[in-house]
Amino acid sequence: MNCPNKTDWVLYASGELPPARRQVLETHLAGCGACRREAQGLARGLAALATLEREPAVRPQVMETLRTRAREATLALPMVASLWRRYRWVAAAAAIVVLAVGLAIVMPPAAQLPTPRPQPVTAWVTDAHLQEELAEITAGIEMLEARSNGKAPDVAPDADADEQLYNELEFFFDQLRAEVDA
Amino acid sequence: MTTGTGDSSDIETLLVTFAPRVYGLLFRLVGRPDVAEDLMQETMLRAFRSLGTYRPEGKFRAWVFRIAVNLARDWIRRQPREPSVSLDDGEDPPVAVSLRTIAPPDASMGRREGSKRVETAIARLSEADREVLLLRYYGDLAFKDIARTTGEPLGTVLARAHRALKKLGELLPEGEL
Repeated sequence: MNCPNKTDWVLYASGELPPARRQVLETHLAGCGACRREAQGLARGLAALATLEREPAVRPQVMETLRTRAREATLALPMVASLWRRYRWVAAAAAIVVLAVGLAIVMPPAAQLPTPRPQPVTAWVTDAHLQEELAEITAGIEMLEARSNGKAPDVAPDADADEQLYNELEFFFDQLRAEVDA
Repeated sequence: MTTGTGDSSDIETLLVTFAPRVYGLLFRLVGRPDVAEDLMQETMLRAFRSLGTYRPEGKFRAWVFRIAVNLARDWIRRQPREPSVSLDDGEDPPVAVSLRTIAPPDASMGRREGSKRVETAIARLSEADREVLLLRYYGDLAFKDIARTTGEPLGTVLARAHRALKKLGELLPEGEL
């Protein structure tokens, strides 16, 4: 007699087989003592598992702390989204300027060829202060995003700290925008 | 479940639905109630932070339990290596000892547990086999979802479940249940 695969009996005992396949196995069980013992053994294992408390009580103070932290965590989400929207604008502006500078270097206007190339347009991307600002903005956004995605387990969620960081980043944005506009 | 908006009713629904079972799973995986509490909180917070991007058609439950399992794996990996214990030498493995000797945070944790042998038998399973069994029980996940959760092929997961259930069945004869 061809006995079903042992993993079939796991699905059978767990009630995960489609009805047609289940019927086939039940027919087989009726005439196969070895498979009957196999299925009964698995069922005993499941019964043993079911003696564990399935929904153990969590200490009320833990649940209360969790509620508070959960509210803080979900409150931070709109801030991150807003930040990303604004960051995209800055990133796009920076990319355009970098591209323009690159083109100016690679393909300088013919009229400028005989004379030394003026440098002012490159000043803002090579400016250390602005680069520091961009680096800080990037790091801040990455941190907020990591925290909002739960990828910064070492940093405890803190709505006040997030808001402060957000305000600082907002300040950097405004400063950067003013300098770019200028 | 009406998750997706991240409002307070979503939070409460998720807490009531998942926190006890996630805690139960983690307690059985790491064997320490204090660690299980911490990891459960971290699991739930990570889930809450993703409510805004949650798609109802996704397997949210499987995803929550995957976070829990990954956190437990990370924690276990960070622990100092214990000397390996043979399943046949009569000694309890560290998790079994821990589950038995450290009082759970609430007495109800063990109220319905008819036999200490069940706890010991489960704690004696390999970590991977135990994961499969506990995800099935606490996560109420189908084996195909457990396969996605653990990142193993379905055949491997079923083989693990088979081995684990057989061991439980053998250690706990029908008459003692």
